[in-house]
Amino acid sequence: MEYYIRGIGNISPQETLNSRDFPTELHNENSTILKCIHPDYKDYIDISSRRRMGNVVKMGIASALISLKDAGIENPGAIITCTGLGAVEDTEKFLNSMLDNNEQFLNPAVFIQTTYNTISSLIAIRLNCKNYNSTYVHRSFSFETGLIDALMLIDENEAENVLLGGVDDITLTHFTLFDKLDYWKKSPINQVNLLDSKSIGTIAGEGSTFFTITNQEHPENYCRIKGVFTLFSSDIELVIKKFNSFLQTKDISLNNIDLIMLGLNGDSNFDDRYFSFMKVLNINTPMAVYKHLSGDYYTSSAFATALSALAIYKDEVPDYMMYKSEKPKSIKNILIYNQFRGNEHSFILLGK
Amino acid sequence: MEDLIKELKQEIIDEFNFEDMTAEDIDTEAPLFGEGLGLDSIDALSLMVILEKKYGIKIEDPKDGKKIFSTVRTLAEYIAANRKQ
Repeated sequence: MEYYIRGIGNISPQETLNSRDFPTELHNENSTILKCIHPDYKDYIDISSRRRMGNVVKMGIASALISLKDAGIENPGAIITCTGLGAVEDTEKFLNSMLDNNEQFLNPAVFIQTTYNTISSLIAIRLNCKNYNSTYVHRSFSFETGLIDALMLIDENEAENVLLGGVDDITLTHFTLFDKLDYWKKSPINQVNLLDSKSIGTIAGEGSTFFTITNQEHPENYCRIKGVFTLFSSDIELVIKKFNSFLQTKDISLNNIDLIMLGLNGDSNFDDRYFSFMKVLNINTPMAVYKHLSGDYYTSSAFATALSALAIYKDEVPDYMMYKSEKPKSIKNILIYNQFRGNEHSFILLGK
Repeated sequence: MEDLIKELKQEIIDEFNFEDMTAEDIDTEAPLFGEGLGLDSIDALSLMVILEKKYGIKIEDPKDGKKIFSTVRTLAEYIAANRKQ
């Protein structure tokens, strides 16, 4: 069975609303948080629905609709949403309200948005889609797990088209709590310099990236999805062993990979794991990066997948994505390697 | 009464996130639910929370809500007659 990406909807801290083109220039900030550039949600959601939605829900619905429009598909055979935090903004509002009001006078409108599957269900209501609907919440594996499910649905002829997305937003409370665990840079940094920072922590980010995945070949498909693989381990030798097995099952060698998209995030505690991986495998493949564009968040690999799919579709990669290597002459296969704090490793293989 | 009506309209705009709307845009005599402002059953629960939290009024029988929440004016009249704070 073949799987293709037909449509993309991408809301991010960059100008990515035009799915079929890379942003012409980098949206550049000195910060420890990168926030999304939002579209006018009036174009996607009517006011009676919109007034009750938090940012993450609006981002999810709008990017899902953009993806379907890009694909020319109105109603998908399945909707899968992947998120690390869900509607955390509403969850925080509800919990703060419980504390402030001594567990009295709780707002039901906020409460109903606190469940993780809010986004997926509201997309279904917006589309009047009664097909398969699921939400995956597996920290940095959320998007990859949803992707595996999407491919299985197509494999088993449960759906011809699957709407799949990764969505997370960053809130001040979440930022503050995880700052205590040294997740973030201690002072603002220009995102262009993120990967050279040599200090602990990274830049917090957010985004919503939806894909319309299909089993139908079409000239406007972005790329094929050749495989996805996740592994929880801090043992880099085991990661390499499993990675090699993954490539073998996909019948592809490292020499056939034209670009590796790395999830380097400028955190000196963990970035060396990527370099160890590259060194042990003696990989000289051109490298690209993406977290200086999006910041780091649990479903940022969806953002990486969108950029990689576009790179294959256009057979080019912008200068601002290249990392200390020459651009590839042509792009037929891209491997996305993302990891979360040295333990959660994921690989997504895309091809022409 | 007019001050309370204005206050309630602003409360509704803030609570229910009616972007780009001012108190003047809400018709005092128009239905709050359905065709008028378009509030729904979840909003009715939020209105009950506002009544209890801000005015100390607890609606014991939800059936009474239909009449009380009919328009901004009926809501204001009920609050004026029953408020405890």
